[in-house]
Amino acid sequence: MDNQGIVTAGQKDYFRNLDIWLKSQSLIDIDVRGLIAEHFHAAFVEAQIHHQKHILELPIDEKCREVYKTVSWHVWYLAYRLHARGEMELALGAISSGLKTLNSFLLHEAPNDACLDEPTLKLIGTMVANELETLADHGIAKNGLYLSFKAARTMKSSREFKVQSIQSSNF
Amino acid sequence: MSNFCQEYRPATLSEVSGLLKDIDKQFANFEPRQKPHAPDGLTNSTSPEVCSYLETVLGGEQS
Repeated sequence: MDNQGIVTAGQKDYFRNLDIWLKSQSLIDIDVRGLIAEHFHAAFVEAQIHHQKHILELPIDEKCREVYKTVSWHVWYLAYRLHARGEMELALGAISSGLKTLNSFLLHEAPNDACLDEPTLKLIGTMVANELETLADHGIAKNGLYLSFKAARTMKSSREFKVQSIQSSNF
Repeated sequence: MSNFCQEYRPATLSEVSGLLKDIDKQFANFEPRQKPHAPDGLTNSTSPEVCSYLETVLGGEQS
């Protein structure tokens, strides 16, 4: 699958989950849909520009686009935009829909159908929301969101995973 | 950028392809900062299993 396909499918799946959330909240009037469309696409463009800067700034060997990265950053920029408009309820929906999307990717990773549990997702979502509000010292932003799923993916897919003692860590 | 930004739908494959090409052009002369705090060996990749799932999300759109 090429980069365009990964990026397109990632935002398509995010949009689908966001649409499900909006319908579940009965937020289907034309003004809300227009607002979401405007900011969904603008946030998507921001995330792609940020991705380009990211791979040019860091010595990254890009075998192909990493969908956790593209969707995590899309979620952040969308929530940030909606929050800046005073639409915190929509921002929270953008975050929860994004977490659902990212967790569905994790679910499909080999070797089993493990993914993050609800309390962990709630904690991640709360910390992203804190970052948007006045509790940034208790929050995480786009990179923290990405790393939450990157770390989970790495543990899940590692065939040679062994529990490391603290003493053997470099940190 | 195409008018997809005004519509309540996700971007299509061809719109994303156009956007990524535009961004590539914008950053053709980008100068990285000198000492990023990053180790060598960082990689980006999406696993074959997740790619298979994403293929189903794409549906009829050709990748």
